[in-house]
Amino acid sequence: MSLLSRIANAFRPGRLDADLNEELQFHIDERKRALVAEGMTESEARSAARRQFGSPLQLRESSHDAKALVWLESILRDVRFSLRVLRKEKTVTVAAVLSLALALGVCTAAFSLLDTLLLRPLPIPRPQELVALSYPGSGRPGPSGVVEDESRFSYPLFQRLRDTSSGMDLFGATFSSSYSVVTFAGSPEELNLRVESLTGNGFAALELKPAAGRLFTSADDRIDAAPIAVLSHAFWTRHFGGSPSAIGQWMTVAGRQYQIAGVAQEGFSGLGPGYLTDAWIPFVFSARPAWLTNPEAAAVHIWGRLPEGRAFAAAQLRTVFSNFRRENANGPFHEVPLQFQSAATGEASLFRKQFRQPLWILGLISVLILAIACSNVANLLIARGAARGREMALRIAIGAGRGRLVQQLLVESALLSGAACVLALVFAGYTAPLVVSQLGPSDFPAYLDAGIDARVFGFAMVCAGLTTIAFGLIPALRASAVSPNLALQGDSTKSSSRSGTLKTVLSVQVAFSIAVLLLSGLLVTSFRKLMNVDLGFTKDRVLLFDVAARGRLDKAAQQSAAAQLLDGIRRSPGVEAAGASTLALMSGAFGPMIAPQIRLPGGDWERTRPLYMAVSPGFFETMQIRLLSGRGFDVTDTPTSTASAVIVNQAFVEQFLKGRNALGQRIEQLTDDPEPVTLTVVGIVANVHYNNLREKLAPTIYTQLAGVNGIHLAVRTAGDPHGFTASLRKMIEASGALKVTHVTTQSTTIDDAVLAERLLAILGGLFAAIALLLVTVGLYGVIRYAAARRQKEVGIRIALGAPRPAVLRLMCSDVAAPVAAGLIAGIAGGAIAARYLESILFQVRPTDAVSLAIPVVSIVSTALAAALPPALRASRIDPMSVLRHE
Amino acid sequence: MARQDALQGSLPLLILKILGRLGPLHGYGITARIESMSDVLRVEEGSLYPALHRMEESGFIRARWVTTENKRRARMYEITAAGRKQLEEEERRWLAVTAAVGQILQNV
Repeated sequence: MSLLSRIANAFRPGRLDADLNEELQFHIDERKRALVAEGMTESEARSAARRQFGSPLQLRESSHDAKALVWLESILRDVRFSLRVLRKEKTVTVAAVLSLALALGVCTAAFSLLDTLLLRPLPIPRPQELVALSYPGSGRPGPSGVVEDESRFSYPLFQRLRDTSSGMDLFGATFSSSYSVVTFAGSPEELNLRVESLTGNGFAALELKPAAGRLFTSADDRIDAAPIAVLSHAFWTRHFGGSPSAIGQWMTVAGRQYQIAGVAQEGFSGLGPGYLTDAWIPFVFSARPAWLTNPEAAAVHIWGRLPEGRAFAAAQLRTVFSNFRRENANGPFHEVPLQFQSAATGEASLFRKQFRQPLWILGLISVLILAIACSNVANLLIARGAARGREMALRIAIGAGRGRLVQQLLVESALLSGAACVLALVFAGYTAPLVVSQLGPSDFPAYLDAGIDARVFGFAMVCAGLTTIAFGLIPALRASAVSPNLALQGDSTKSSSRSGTLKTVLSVQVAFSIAVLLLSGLLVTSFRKLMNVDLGFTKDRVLLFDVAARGRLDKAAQQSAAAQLLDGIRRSPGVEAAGASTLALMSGAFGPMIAPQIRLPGGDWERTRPLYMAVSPGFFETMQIRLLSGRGFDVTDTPTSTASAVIVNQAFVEQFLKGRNALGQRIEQLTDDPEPVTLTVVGIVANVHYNNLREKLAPTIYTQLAGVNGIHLAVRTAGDPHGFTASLRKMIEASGALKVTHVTTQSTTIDDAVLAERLLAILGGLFAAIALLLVTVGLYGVIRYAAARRQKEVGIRIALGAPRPAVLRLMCSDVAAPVAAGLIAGIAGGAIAARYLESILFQVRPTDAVSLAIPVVSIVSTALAAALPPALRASRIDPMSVLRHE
Repeated sequence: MARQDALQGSLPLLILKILGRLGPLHGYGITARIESMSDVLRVEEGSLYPALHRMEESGFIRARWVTTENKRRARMYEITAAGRKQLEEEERRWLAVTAAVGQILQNV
């Protein structure tokens, strides 16, 4: 109560002083009355009363200090004063607030993305205890080129580990990277939901409570238990409106019935940030039956809680792990260590791996932008501080301490960044969710709650505080360091150190801008080059249907169904060509395939395995993949009659068939049978990109497509492919034997493959524009200010006969040196920072002439555009008018 | 000077005691009461106020404005519960200190 009243009093010092005066005056008057009553005259009594009372002014001050927070009051006084100053100099204020707001907004948005995807812990008690088990993977490098850790274990191994772990609460989980088709009893509607599985003790280990019903228990680990499901709170609210009647309803997931038993705790949306899990089913029901007993199947992720100081529990698990693998080893046994990785922030999903580096890069660039804005505002303040030299001198002359002046100037800066911070939060609140919507592939959108929460708010406040010091302290120290004597004499040009600071800040600004432009330029160029990669096929106007058979069809029936389907589609209006394949190009599905080894007759088994793909007749025509020689498949190549006819790509010819006549070449393929299968090359096609745009084109064998289940149907249309989706879908499903599980276009598939690069290019371009805008404003302001300050000197020089070109040179060289220094520093710094980008760049290097030229040219021309007009004006000065002005 | 020294540190105690005994009073009233009861302890009148205001901020007394019979606004102080507790403690300490000092003065 006391602190509150002291704060309140700090806000109304006038009222407080009036009250104090009244109280003291009352006392003096009472005393006077008493003295008069004792017989004194009026005037005697008045002076006696005053004498006895002491100095009211001093007493009031002392009471005032007791009743109000003095420091707060002085800051409030500064705030009021600063608001007046800021309002008076509207242009400077608006320029400063806007440039800071833009930069702070970019930073805050970047942080909010980083936080939601990478930094924020899972919403469970003590998330820091959570660990995920893994062991070093063997052999094959993943898509990123590194051998990834293996984080899936067999179920029997999980059981052994769980049962021997003491107090670690090990549980199993699966993560889903695609939707499951889910229907609820009583409704024909098919929903695409993300369904994951947990072992029975999962929810308990995570210490989550049910929002309704019950969660899994160990009893749910039994395959003969009643199949149940748990809904996420978000889905329960969305689909059932949070109604308790959802409990007990039946739902069908992947053809199996589950009864809804409960709803998970509010706020928990799965173990992987980036996606929302809608429902969980017990692991035993999600797994293939064979997985439950196979000691080698990679079936389940193992997580657990490893509280501090439980090293012995980890050691115990390592032993169990090693023993289990030795017991079940097939052939030679390699000891690998069991690893415990912190999972406090959730699953290290592919999604997070994909965007970790891009988001940090964006963070880095946004910090550089903040630095540009800071130097911008610092320059504005230094320039303005010079104009306020007289005010400062006057205030020092009448006794204000330097600390007091610095405080007032810093309050001014804090007001600027405070206003900017508010705008920045608004900006980030709009832009961060917008960026999130660009993160996921088109048909599996990412979910990140990138709004403004306490953490983001705190970050913005800390940023604003730091920027206040960064841009405010130096100008404040400079401005308050005036010598009252000099300044009051009216000569403010003598403080040459001020223009020194100004030049330094100018260099810094140029350096940061060059770095931002360099980095952004690399990202944009890299993306453009990626998009210009020759795919080997034409992506436009191709619709892709994933087709599945509704029932079981024998081979012959499948084959004829496929042929009929393709025939029908080819005949329909607007269709130019149609073909089918087992895998869609650039869909990222090639990764885990295990390809059979091959050899040439009489040769050794080749170490490199080719890629395989089964395609129908017409596939190459549809995708417009060039046939280089030989022939494509045709309807006479049925898998039964000519199983051995294959088509290979150019890379295959170059790698395995160099110098031979490729057509008619026989290739032996290793299969499960002891006798190798013999293939005959009947055609050669051009190389295409299968998985991603960066890959080396791999040798590939195309075989004849057999069957219709799970194929990808590619249809080249005459116009916008989306217009044909409905009619073609109807046609495919017309017979009732087939259904379409997924539709997309080939262009979308490729767009989805370069999501991270596209995001970086778009935001990089945006950031470059912001940086250029900021630096233009900054350079222009500073250079004009510098020119204005030299007017008098120029006037004298001209009066003394200096030629005008010399004046022009003088004015320009003033700016040229700091800009040049900034250029060099910026290029060096940018090139160093760019090494961090290397893995994401494509066919472009920071040291390329083009990469360097764009930022340098744009900054130099900006500097010239800013410097020339005032320099020209100065060189045309009429010396008399300047000198007379003084 | 002498009378101020005599009061050193005891002013808050006296204020609390007077307010505790006599109920709400304004500043002048407190001064008059101290004067009327002791000739030795004479307050330099103004110094009462900073002390009153500090005690008010500490929560030992609270104040409100009232209008006196001759239509002037006066600030009346009254002791709070916290003030009564403080009074007890201060009084005990004061008595202990003066007793100790007195004993030394007598026995030396």
